[in-house]
Parts: sequence; C-alpha cells; structure tokens
Amino acid sequence: MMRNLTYEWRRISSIRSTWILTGVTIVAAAALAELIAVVAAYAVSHPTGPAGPDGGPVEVATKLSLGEFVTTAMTNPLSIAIVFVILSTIVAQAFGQEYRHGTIRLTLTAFPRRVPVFVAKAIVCLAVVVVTFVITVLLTIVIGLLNSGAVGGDAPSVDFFGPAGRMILYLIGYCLIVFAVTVITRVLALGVIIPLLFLIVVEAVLVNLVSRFVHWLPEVMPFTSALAFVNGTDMVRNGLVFLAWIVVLVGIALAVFRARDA
Amino acid sequence: MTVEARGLRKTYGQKAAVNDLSFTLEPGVVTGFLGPNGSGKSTTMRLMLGLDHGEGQTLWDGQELAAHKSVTRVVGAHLDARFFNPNRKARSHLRMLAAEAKVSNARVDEVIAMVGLETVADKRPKSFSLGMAQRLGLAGALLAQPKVLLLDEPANGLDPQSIHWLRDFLRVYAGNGNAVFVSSHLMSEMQLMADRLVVIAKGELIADEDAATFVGRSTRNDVLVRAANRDALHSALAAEGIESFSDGEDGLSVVGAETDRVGEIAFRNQVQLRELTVRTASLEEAFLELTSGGQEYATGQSQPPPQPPTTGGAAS
Repeated sequence: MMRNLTYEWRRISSIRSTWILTGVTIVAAAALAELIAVVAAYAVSHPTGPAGPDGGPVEVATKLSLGEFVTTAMTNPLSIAIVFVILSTIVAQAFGQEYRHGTIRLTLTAFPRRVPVFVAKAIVCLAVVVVTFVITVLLTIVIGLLNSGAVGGDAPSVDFFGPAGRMILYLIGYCLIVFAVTVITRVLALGVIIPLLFLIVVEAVLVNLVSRFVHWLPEVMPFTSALAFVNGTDMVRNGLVFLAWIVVLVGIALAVFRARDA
Repeated sequence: MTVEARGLRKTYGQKAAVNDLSFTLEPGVVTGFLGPNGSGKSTTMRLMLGLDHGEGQTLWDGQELAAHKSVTRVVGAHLDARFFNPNRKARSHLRMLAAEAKVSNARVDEVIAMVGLETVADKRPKSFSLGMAQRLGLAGALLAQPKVLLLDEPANGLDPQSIHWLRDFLRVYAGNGNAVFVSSHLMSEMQLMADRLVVIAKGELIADEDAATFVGRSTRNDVLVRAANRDALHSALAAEGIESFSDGEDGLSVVGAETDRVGEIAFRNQVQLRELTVRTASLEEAFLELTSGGQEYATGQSQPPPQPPTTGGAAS
C-alpha cells in the first residue's frame, strides 16, 4: 500500500494544477475572510444605521467574537461554493486526468490490484484537500486576529472547533462524491459539475417544488442533510443520511472501476 | 522468465476480438507479434496485463502478474506513445512510475540518458514529437529492468537511426536472458529483430513458430534456375511433377523442389545451367500470404497474387 501511496503522491504533486488549485483556494478563502472582516469593521464603526420613521437609530453592530467570525467566514454559501469547487477539482483529477491521458493503463499495469489503487487515490487526494482546508481555517483565524476593528473586544466566545470539524467532514464527504462521480463517468468536468449542480440547483429545486407533495424528500437529500449536519441540526440523522449517499456512490464507483476495462 | 498465455479470449458483443489465443514467451528470445490492423494485437497485450477483462489467463513464471512482489520488475509495458500527462515533466513522469519498484532517481536519470532524452527531461512532453514520446514510453518500460518487455508498435515515429538503436537494444536485452514481446508493422525490422513469431488474424492464431520456419512456409520460396534451353528444362521438370514458371529471359522459377533435385534433373536431361539459386520469401511476403483474408479493415489491394510473383507467365 505504501507504494500505491507514494505513486499517488508523486502523481498529484508533479502537476502544476494541483498547486495552482490549492493556492487559489487559500487566496480566495483569505480574501473572503478579509472581506467579511472589512464589512464587519465598517458596521462596527458606523453603529447608527439609516434613520427609522421616528428618526432614531435602527441598528447597532457589535464586534464579532473570533468564533463567530471564523464560522461565518467558513460556512457562508460563497465560501462553500468556491472552496468546494476548487478543492473537489483536485480530487476529480485523480481519475479524470488518468482516463483523459491514458495513464490509467500505466497505473494499472504497475498496480494490477485495483482496490488499493482506488483507496490510495482517495487517501492522497483527501489528505491534500484537508490540509489545504486546515490552512485556510488557520489563515482565517489570523485574519480575524489582525482585524481588531471587527473581531474581538467584549464579544462572547463561540466555539468554532465543532463547526470547523463538521465542515471538514462535509468537505471530505463532498469530495468523495466528486471522486465517485468522476470514476463512474470517467470525465473530470462531469465529476465536478454533477455534484455542484445538485448542491446549488437540483436539490434546491427538488426541495422547494417536490417536497410539497413528498414531505420526507428534504430529509433524504444529501447536501441538505450535510448542511444541516454542519449547522448542528439533528446531527446524527443528517450525518447518517449524508454518509449513506457517500457509501452508495463510492461503492458503485469501486464496483465499476473493478469491472471496467482500463 | 517464461510467460504463458493460455486461452485468451475477449468479445465485444457477439464479435470475438481475440479468440482462444495461446502462446509462450521464452527468456532470451525476441518474439515478434504480427497481425493485420484490427487483428487483436493490442487487445491481447492488454489481456495479458490484466488491463482488459476477458477469458483465459497469463502466467508469469507460473504466477498471476498481481501475485508478484513487484510487477514492474516482472514486466515493462509500452502500449502507447501518448500515455503521459502532457503537463507533467518527463523526469517527474518517470519518477512517478519508479515508485512501484522503488527505483532510485539515479536509475531514472540513467534510463533518460539511455533513450536520449537528457536535454528535454525537465520539459513537459506536450510538445514532444511522436519519436520522443516513444522514447519516453520505452524509458518507462525499462525503468525497473523487467524480466519481460511488452512493446506495442515501439518503432512508430522513430527515425532510421533510432529504429536501428531499438533493434540492437532489444536483441541485447533479450540476450541478457529477458523475454521481449514486440508488435510492429515494420516487417523489415521484424525480420531483423525477431527470433520467433506469433502471428494472428481476426483474433485467431495463425502461427507460433521460429521466424525462419514461418517464412519457409511461404509458397514464395522458390528456386531460380537459368538455363541454356529453358523450354527443355521446363518440360523435364513437368515430367517429374515439378511446377515451374518463366522468370526473365532464360530463367525458371521452380516451386516445390530443392536446388539439388533441380540440378539433378537438368543434368539427366543434358540442359546446361547458368545459375541455380534458392530464393527465400521476405517476412513481408510470407506475412501477406499467410494472413490473406485475415485482415479486418482491408483496402482491397493488399491481397497477394496466388501465384509466385516472379513469373512472366508460364513457360508453356
């Protein structure tokens, strides 16, 4: 297995796109965090909002706690979309590029046992994704600490380790779904786009339209469940629903990968 | 290492791309793998390596390939010149492949030098010519000094010097006790390179024998005899049941008889001879003849004529 892992690490680390994508993720996440800090600092420095009908103040902003800041920076929809899309592309490359350039035949000639190949690709890609994400979280914390105008002060502390941990699990699950779809379709673009479409379009449409007639539908949707899990709502049930989707899709992908001609 | 392919079979729907193919690769021998386009050569190689799923099995020293501790020390395969990521540097590509056998970076550099890619080793191969890509693929196959080399059309795109180098290299590699299995459309090269031939057509085995035996089976092997009185010799040969055809001004192409027999008949009939020569068919001629009708995608012009090509018409 160590040889499989070494091979995968050399594969993923020897193409520029891996480093470009991780760099873009870190920069984009940091930029979003800074933007949130700037907006928050502006709100704090302008405590009086637009005058209400009686001419009095309607809104007073206070500084965010570091926990609130980090959680907001990580779990806002824009951050999720950007970070997930970029990092999942690294995962999709594991098989997408191999099939595109035919190198899957070199890989499977060197490693005829396919299950270790599949597992090694998943482990190495997810390790890169998780490390990158942890770096973005640490960077977000630093940005929060540097923006004393928006973060800190007397704000009550909020635990962000829980949401951050659940966010990492969500990211790993999402990447495994991307990984599975890429193996099934053998096309990198489809591996990235199909889960993304479900995340931001298909599931929302299904939940808003069909759930009027099928009330239990939102409860079995993968990404709706995953977001509820991250937000701490009925974590066990939502976590298990998301896990079930991952297990089914990865299982299908592994079966297809083993049965298919290279 | 001996490689035994037994009962290899692969179907696509109702069509058998490879049908009950069995042969053996011996150490120290360059085995040429010949067949018309679409005859199943590449599919056979993929079946041997377990890349495609089909029936039959290939045993590498009596074991499945996956049962060996290091697969790339058992077999080095080069199936397509373009199997690389165009954005990964050539050296990095080889270092990646080196991971399976824990091959050192020094060996990677050695192989790069061996195939003549030193100057472009740190370049991305997207701009590589076909010949350079072939060299990179060959380098990948050679990395772990495997006991068996499986090469699918490795000479495609190579210049004459490189083809000459490749031929010499493969012969030396086999000479060191390794098995070499190489497919090629370049018959002249194969004739110089291969000790043994596995020939297939439409997925079925046509021949598995020494190259000399294969060529010897061709009806294009004949004896050229030039005589002072050609017609008299033709009649004498016909009386002995030996077929002959006119060839040139005073020559006959004699099929189915050795030079000794032709000379004896001429002597007995007092025909003065000017030349008596064995003519051996080329591998290309033998291949075309023995695989005629076995071509999957024929142009309609490749079928060899049924009679020997040297005739200027029957002498009588």
